Amino acid sequence: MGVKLNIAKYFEFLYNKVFVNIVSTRTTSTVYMEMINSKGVVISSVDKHFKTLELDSKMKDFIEQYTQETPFYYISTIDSSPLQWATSEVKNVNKDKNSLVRCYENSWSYNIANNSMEEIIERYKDIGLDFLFSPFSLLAYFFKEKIDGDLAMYVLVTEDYLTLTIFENSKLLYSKQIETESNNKDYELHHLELDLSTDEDEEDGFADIEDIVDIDEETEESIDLDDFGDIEDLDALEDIEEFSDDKVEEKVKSDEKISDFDTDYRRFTLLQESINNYYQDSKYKSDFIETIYIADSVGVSGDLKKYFEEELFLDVYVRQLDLAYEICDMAKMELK
Amino acid sequence: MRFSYIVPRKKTVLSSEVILLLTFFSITFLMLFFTYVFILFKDYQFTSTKKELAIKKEQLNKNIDSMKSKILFIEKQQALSERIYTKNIVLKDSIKNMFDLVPDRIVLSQVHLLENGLIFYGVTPTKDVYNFMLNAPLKSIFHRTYTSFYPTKGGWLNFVSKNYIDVDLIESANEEDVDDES
Amino acid sequence: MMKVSITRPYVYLLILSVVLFISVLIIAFALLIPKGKDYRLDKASLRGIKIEQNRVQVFNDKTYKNLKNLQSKNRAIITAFSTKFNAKRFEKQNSKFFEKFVLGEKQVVTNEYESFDVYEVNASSKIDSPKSFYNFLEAINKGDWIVSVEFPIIFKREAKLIHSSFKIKVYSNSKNKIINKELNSTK
Repeated sequence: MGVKLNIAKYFEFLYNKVFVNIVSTRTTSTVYMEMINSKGVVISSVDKHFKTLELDSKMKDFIEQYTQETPFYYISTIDSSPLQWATSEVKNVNKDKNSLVRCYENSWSYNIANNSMEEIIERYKDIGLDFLFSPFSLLAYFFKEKIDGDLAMYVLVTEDYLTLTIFENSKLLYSKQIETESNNKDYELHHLELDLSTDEDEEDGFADIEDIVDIDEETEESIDLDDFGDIEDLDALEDIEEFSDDKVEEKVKSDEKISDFDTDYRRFTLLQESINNYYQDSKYKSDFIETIYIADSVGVSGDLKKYFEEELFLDVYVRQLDLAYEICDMAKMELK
Repeated sequence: MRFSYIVPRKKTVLSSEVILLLTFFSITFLMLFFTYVFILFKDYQFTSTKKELAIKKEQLNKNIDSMKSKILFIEKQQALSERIYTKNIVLKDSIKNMFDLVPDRIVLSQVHLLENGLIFYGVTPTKDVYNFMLNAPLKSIFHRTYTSFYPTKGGWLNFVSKNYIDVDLIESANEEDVDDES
Repeated sequence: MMKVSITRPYVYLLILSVVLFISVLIIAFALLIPKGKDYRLDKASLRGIKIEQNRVQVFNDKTYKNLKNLQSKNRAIITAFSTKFNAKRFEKQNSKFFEKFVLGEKQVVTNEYESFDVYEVNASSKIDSPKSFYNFLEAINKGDWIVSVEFPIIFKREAKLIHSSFKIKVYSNSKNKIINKELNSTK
């Protein structure tokens, strides 16, 4: 069969390539597909949202409509679970048998928990999975020309989570995967923080609740301490929160071109907290960060930018990003 | 993989259906090919057998010809020897007849047997004895008879009898016989 | 009814099967069938050739038998024709019939019969009675050579014996033809 495979290469021109990119939130999925011809030119692309996380028949049919046309289809998704992290350790990466580790250009590595990986693979078992990406590597790829520059923070903002990294001269200094709370207060917040010594890997929800309580207190305190003027904002925040209590909306990306003021603030506070940890923890070098690059996949309001500029005195650069499109790009890169 | 945790599945043009189809048809083609080879082989076999047989046939024919000529020759020999044998026997009989022809009272001194004739040299007591006893039968046998006498000391006669058969007359007589019969 | 969606791989599969099928047909009809026909014709003609061969073989065998038969029946004659004439031996063999028997030199007289050489030899003998001569004439037919007694034959009375002189002709296979050498061998 070895000989046959070599000859088969010459017949690849008969088919187009299809890249299926699935981006999921806790309740929805977005499927973005690109059809590439044998010369590498994009013939067409199509985009659809589904009100389900799991692979239902409508989604499957939609995908198969295109994947049936060619044997060369590649299904990619990104891991949005909290159980992933990045470290600057490259050696001894097989230490933890519960996670799968990959190296990014020999200077840092990113990890995913085996359970999460298996769960994702299981979720898409009816259509199969070809690529599974990490938001850390996506972030690094998206800002690849900036990362080898001076110390800066890079943040990926998505519906459900924030991915935070701090790089200096292509070296990873700090990273964190943060779950943002949803509008529905029934969901518990999963806020997981991981050190280099990975023993504190906590999946226990109860432990998190205490953290959440602490964090809430901290956030409020930090706001009081740092900026007086923000108390007014806090009131407004509470008003908006109560208002949105009555709505139990599932997030549809098309409806939220501009996210809630509320949400953005939430994001800011979470990020700020992580930054403080970075500064305060003696483990990290903790030079002052002056720049932040935001990869925006949801359409943040200008306020988030304002927060960083005013509260933390950072230069903020926001770049729009289509998550599915970026995943597609990365998938194409994998095939080169 | 540069970014991905997992490696993509193998993608190939050769789906199981394609492979099945190709296998089926390659078996078919193989069978056709073998049939073709077989036919070529048989063709070669045939031409070589044909050549072989042609050579053998040629040999046989040559053999037959040589045997035929041998047979012919033997037949010739047979015919010739038959003829010779009969000739000798006929000669013997005719000599015998000739000597029987001669009566006791006539004594021969010489006999010349010729192709077409007979010459006697002998002695006879009297002419009459000769004429009755010898000349008469001689005359009936031969076409031409010549006799000459001359006396001997003892009162007997020496004679010379020359008798000839003319071959032409025999031939024409044969022709007459043929005409009579037809 | 089974529904198969008309996807591109399916179309390619159909095209492939049609192409392969047609090529099988082409090969079968353009190549094999004429070759097959030739094969059958060859087979038939081979059969004919073999029959012909057999016929010739049979004829060969028959002729051979015929030849052998003739050779055995005529062995005496064949040897007689092939034996070189030896005057001394002839004298010796036939002297029993004669008181005296002398042969002269032989002279070749050919062209009387094709493929045979004929020698003339003068003979003179003395016999006591014609009976010996008759026996002689009978004996030469059974002798080692094919011999005929030729005219003129002369008998002369000499005292108690008859002096006879005559010519004999000896017949043997012609030495000119090389073929005769082969013919003389009992093949």
